[in-house]
Amino acid sequence: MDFFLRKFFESDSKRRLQTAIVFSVLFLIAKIFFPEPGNILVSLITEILVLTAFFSWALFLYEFVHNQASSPVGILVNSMILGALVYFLLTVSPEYLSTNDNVITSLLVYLFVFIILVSTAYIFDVLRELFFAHQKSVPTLYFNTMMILFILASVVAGIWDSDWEYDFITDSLTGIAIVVAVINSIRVAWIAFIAKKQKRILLLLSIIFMVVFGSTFGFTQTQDANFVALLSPALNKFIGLIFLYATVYFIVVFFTALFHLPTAEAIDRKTQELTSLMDLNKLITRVLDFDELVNTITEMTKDVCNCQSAWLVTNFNDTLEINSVNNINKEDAEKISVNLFNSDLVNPKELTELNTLEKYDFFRSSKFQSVIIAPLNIHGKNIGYLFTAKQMSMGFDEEDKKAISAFADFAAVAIENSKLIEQSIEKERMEKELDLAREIQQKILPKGKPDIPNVDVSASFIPAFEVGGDYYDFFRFDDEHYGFVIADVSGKGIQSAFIMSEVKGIFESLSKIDFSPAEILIRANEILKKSLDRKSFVTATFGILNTKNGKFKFSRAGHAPVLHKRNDTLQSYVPRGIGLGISPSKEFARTLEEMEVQLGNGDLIILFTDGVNEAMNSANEEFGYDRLEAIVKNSGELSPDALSRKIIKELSVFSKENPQHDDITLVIFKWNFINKLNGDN
Amino acid sequence: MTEFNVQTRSDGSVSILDVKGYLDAHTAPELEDAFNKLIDDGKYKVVVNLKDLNYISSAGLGVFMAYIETMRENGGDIKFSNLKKEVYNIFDLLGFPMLYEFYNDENEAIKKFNEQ
Repeated sequence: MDFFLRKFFESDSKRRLQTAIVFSVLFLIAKIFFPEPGNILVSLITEILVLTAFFSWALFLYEFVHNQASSPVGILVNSMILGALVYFLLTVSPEYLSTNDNVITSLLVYLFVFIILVSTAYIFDVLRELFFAHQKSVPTLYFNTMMILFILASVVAGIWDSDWEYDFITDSLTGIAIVVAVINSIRVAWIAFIAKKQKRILLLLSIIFMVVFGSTFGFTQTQDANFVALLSPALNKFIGLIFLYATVYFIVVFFTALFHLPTAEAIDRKTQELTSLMDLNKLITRVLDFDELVNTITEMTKDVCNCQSAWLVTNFNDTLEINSVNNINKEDAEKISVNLFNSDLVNPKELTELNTLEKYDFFRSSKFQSVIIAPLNIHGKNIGYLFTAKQMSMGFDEEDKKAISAFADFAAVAIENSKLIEQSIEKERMEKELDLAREIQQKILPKGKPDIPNVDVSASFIPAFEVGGDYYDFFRFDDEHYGFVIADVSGKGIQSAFIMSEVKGIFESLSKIDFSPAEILIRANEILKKSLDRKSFVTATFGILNTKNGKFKFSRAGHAPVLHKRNDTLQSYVPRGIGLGISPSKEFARTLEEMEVQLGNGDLIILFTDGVNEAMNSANEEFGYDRLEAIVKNSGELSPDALSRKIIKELSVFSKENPQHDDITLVIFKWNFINKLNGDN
Repeated sequence: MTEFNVQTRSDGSVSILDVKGYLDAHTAPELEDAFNKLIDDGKYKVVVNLKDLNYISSAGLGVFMAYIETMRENGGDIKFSNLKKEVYNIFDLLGFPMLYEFYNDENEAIKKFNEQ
């Protein structure tokens, strides 16, 4: 589709060129066959042909003019050169050409006329472009009326000689055409939109235009001494009218540009302000680097208010920080800002203007005489200040203040936006990390219940929102001996999840060897002391149950007590033992105790993590050991699963809406030796 | 829950940290800052007064562990004093009293430093 469109436009441009050439050639042929104006019909045809050729060229050239129209001075310089060329060609004596009546001179004349025709067509395009530039309502009618009058006047002048008795028709048509041309000359709105520097150039150019175009017009009036007039009176008339229009137009341009000069700077600044605000608006909607954003803000502010320096101070969580400086070093900016804040000169609600700065000691060393501080406020909250400084005293006018104010408002939105994006990225990152930590924990913990002879096991695990690092596992040493471990890694999140997987690996490999619980913990401590950082540790209880005789041997490394329920009595065992990874091997081994208890039929062993006893209610009370022990003690003949459910239910009743801060793990097993024996019988 | 505060005093060559409120993963960095400042100033003899400490999490315990090692490597120590019973129980369960010194009163801890 795109290809065909392009093809169409290319051929269109080509076809325009072909049309222009065809009409030019037709005119040439007509002139060769009828060199002298004979009857009216022949004149009419040749004159219409030449004017059609003119408009064909204008149509063809319009594309080039229009593409360059964004810089009016460029196309004006082009038309000046072409205007000068036309002027030069017209000054060539027609006598010189006509006296040497041969083919070469005739062709030369045609070539000259042709160059004049094409050049004028270009100038005509420029005038047309300027006429339509920056017009709110499209004044096509005015321009077309002018064109029709020009054509009519030219054709009428072309058909009849100057000594024609109804001369007044030509004159009145010309007169009306000139009036319309003058009216159309006030279409100079585009001047307001060019920069001050360009206006100065324009002023100079329009003087040259007036001279060049005016003289060219003058030459077209001397019909006897002008070879264009000899060849085609209509073309001469038409060119004359266009140059007249151009002359009048540039007289108007000259005066308009002259009157615009004093206000040019203000307009330039407004334009810049508007463009900068638009740029800033674009910045807001884009995700970008915070530093880039604040640097853009200070740079734009500095440019727009024409000040020496600008800097930006952010105020997040009541901490003031200089984030961007433009044309001032950070130390100076900091010194000035701190002193201004300390002297209570900064209003966090409104724009502050400071002018007589000499009276402040801290300003004497700085080069600035006036400073404006605009607070950056959003949703009634201050998030920073935009500083601008000038070396002049009373350097800021009302326009500057308005501009800085507008910038500060935009900057506040942009900064807030960028912070929000930053936060949401950070939040997303943390959530991803938490997901990963949860996944690790899920994979590490045993699935389902272990099958241990004579033992009924229950394991419950309730993860906290931030992974708390709880771990439990079961190991089979041999047919008789089964291991239980419960552990809690210090810290939270992904880091504790990684340590947890290391701990699992350690216990997995140690339980392949015939060690006692104390020996296993001593070796685990040795490994963890080396691998953990200084701040991390692991608490654990490792127990081994002999499933033949019900002897439970265990050691505790800094972990919560081991509870032992027999009927309505409850024992809490806290054998000595330091947490894993805290102390060197020797010290750890020296202090570690190992206990052995003989389980009776129906006895329960309860292992848990501090997530149970440290669960809090809304009054910041802990669930505590006493509540836990009371529940266990009064649980009657509950199965491990039922007891686990009961504890968890009591926990949730206790903490209600209060969020769970740590993982909760409960491992309960019941020694069912006699039952099994009975069952076997 | 997040109410927490650390203040540093000194008694001769001994620095005393008053740690108040809830010490957990979120407030631990504040305690670390206080310890780092002491290390920067070359003060390695520290008594931590935990009279007003209401809660300590594993992250909080980790901070003490890490800095006791640093202080000891530099010829100093961290000694604990004035712990509430519940807070002491947490330290005790973890085996800290077997490794570090705990005192009922701050002055006892300072005296101990001065005797050395």
